[in-house]
Amino acid sequence: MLIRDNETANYSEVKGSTHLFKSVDSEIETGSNVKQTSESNYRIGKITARIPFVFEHDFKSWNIEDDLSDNRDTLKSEAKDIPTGEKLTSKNNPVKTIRNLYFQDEFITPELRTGINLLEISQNYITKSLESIQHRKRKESDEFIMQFKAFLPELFCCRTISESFGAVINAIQNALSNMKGCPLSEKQIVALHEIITGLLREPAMSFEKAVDYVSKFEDADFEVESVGVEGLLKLTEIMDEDETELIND
Amino acid sequence: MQLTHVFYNAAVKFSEIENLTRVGLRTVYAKDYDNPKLVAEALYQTNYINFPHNLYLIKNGIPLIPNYAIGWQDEEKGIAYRLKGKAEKLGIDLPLKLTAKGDFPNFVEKEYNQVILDIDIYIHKHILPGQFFSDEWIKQAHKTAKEEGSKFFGEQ
Repeated sequence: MLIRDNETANYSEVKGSTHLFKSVDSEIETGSNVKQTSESNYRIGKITARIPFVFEHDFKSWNIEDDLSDNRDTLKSEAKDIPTGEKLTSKNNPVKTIRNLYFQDEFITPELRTGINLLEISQNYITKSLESIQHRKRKESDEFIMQFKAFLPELFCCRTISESFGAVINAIQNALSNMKGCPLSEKQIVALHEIITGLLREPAMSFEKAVDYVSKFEDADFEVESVGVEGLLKLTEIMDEDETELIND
Repeated sequence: MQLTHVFYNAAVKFSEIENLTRVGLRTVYAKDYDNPKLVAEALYQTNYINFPHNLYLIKNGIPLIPNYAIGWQDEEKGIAYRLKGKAEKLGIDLPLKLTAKGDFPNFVEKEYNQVILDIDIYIHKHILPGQFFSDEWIKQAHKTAKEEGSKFFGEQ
């Protein structure tokens, strides 16, 4: 099978399939009802599957011919379960809601301007990561998380926005650091998405509310305490115990 | 940390505010005059109010003091500029504790003859306390009120 990458105009071959994608301007068709609707989206009947060209290996491992001929009904039923994501409108977009409260186009306080912009970008990456993992693309999903991680140090610098903002960002940074490079599970990405969306909705939330968010985040198998701090606390406990024993003796 | 931030957080926490419905910044500038007639004349001289000559004095000698207001309001925000005169007396009966010794009079009166520019800039929308940054909002509101006001009233 030949697949045409619209950006580079190169064809890549996928072994084990007899389908040929023909380029018809912006649309690629096959004889089995597969249509390209955008650069990297293919429609299979009512199913939309995202096929990134950079992950050719993943694509090769998926036998389209079998899926289309034998498992089409299964694919259709699975596709119904894939959440398409709520479209952001002015009413449910937390950033727009906050921005509408102010009179200028951009925030005057540098930390607030940077913090909100970075949070918005971060949320987009996490949403993409969630979509990818729901489409069983763990590698792509992890790459989006890695891109989000790159913003964390800068977000940490914006912790003067509020005490809660600092606490939540710190918890996320520790949690991801404690994962030691392991890719996040779907449950963890959902938790990450929730906490970031919560922070975007209320960047200056009360500290009690932030603690609630962090607790829920922690429930998704995250370790939000810094390893160093944990070690130090354990050391303090041991020292306290030793001291008590000495006094008792 | 700004004082506004501390005050806002304390107000939200101790008053247990869960929603804000209206937040505004009210700035009032006042200029004193000797008598109500001068207040009225000062307002007429601004040329914002077109009024037939000699109509501003009614028969008992108390001048008519006009008010002038402009502004806009949309679904979320609003701004209002009110140019008005104030000619009134404020009287206060002092408490017995002060007046008993005879150091203070029983009654204190102050007369206000002022031209006032009252600027009210606000949001009227249900928002969560955590969505509102008091420092930032006050900075922006003040900047906007100044910019918008100078377009209409001039720089000075």
